[in-house]
Amino acid sequence: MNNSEGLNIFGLSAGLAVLMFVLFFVSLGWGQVWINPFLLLVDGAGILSKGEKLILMEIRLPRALLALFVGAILGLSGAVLQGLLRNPLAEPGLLGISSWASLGAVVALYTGFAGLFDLALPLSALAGAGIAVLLLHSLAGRRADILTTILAGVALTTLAAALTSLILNLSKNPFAAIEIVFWMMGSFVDRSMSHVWLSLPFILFGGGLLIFTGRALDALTLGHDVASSLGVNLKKVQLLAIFGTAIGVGAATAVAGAIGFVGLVVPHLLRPLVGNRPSQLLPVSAFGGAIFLLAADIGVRVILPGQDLKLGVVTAIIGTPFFIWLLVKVRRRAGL
Amino acid sequence: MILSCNGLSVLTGGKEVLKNISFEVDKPQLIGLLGPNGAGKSTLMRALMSLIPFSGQINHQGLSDGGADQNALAQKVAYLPQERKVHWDICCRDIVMLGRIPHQPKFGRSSDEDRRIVLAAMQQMGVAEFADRPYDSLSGGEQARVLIARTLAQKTDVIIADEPTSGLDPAYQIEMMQMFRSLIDAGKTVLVSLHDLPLASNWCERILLMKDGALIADAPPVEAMSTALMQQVFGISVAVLPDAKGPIVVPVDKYRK
Repeated sequence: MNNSEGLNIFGLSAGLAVLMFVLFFVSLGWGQVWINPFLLLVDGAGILSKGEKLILMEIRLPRALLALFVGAILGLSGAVLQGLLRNPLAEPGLLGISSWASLGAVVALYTGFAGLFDLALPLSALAGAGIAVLLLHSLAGRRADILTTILAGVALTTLAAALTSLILNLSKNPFAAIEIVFWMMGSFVDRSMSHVWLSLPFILFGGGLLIFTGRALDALTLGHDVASSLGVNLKKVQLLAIFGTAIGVGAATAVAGAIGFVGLVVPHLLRPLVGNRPSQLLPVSAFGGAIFLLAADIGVRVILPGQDLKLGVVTAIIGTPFFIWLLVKVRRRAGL
Repeated sequence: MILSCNGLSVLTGGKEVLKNISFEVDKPQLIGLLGPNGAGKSTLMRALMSLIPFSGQINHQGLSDGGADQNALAQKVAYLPQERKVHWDICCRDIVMLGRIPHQPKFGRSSDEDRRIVLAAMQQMGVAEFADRPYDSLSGGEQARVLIARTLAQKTDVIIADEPTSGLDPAYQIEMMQMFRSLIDAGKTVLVSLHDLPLASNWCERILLMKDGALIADAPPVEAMSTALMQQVFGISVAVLPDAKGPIVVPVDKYRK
């Protein structure tokens, strides 16, 4: 039975990976003009025009790559945090890192720094995320106690929101204000390959830290004491989970804006399919997150092709009712 | 030496909740840990597992670094807390498999031997038929047995169990004590905290009696559960029923002067 279960999980991962690549290629092809991305592979035939190649490589490829990697890191970190906190309502935004990445971007837009060079905006968002990691670390202290860390995250989120409002409040130029608001909604439109190169190392590094928590998260299903008595180093696991999330999600927010609910919804949907095991949930949540954002990003192009419907809006509109449903379900199970 | 502690003390919030505890275990025994609520039984067990900071010496089969090497400790001692909650509703086999973690390479998968040990542990506890069932679907007594199977799968010489019989019906309680006895016969040592005096006096060969963080008595039940000590420690009067194996101590009433 155990072997067949292993096969099921392997099959599920393989299925999700296939779906992810299909959506990736649809995302490359879909737009105002349909371009078959496979023609790029047989380029020697010279079927694609120069313009089509440009659209594919410079516009659609970064967009699809970012949707894939940002979705993956959001799904993965959501699964890790839910496992670490043993709470299905946990999500990466909880640590306050994405709010500070947003704040960094908002400052760049407000001051005009964003317009100075190509990567000014994501770099200052990345700086915001970096400041948040340092603040989180100093607030939560050396012990990195998980409850203190979450409370510190809540405080950081509130502070970032207040500062963002302050900047919007002070913004004399209504266009800058609109630009700020639009940026905060989250999107993959108009991103270049330099955005990919900027964020990818952080996302991969953060994801690398997160993927190592699997077995410890399994042990944590029996509680802190038992996990510790099984030889699991809980301090190390907490540091891996928190810094992995901070680095990966910080970088993701820096290039894509705040995209909520992926980290909440995806692990929850996939959990029953892996027999509720936290370690098995990690890789499938990465695939699931990528699928979710690739699909949502194709969705915004299909629903309102002419207009620039923001991705973060779509994920929030799907995510919020789901969150409420989840709350009701958790409450019912607790018998409240 | 299987287990020894010397001058073990624990401070919590400036209060000494464990005071200078010393005892030794040099042969496989079923040891009952008795004492009123708040006497420090759970604290002693958690200190023995290096789950909380302590002063004094603890030695687990030659391992005396105070739990600095958690994994080495996990290969020698298994811990079963009172709490039976499993946070995600995983299937019973996966729970028992968690007991293999200390023996697996860091990123290794479970081997055929792991699966064999897990199956044997589940058979020993009579829960093999639940292997694919979600944990939440079992009754309290069945859940308790699955969690003990997890400690068996850990293949340690010592098991430390915090009130494993609480909330179980009498048949399950007796079954559990029988199972612990069979572990002793197989050469293991079990340290178990209990609130049930008849169960403790009937099944344990050695009693550690605690009150207010101190060790009051360390002796066989006939001595450590005497009428006088039960009155001193619990403030109750007891009846002692003679039995073939030894006396059975039954609480009767709160002690009145």
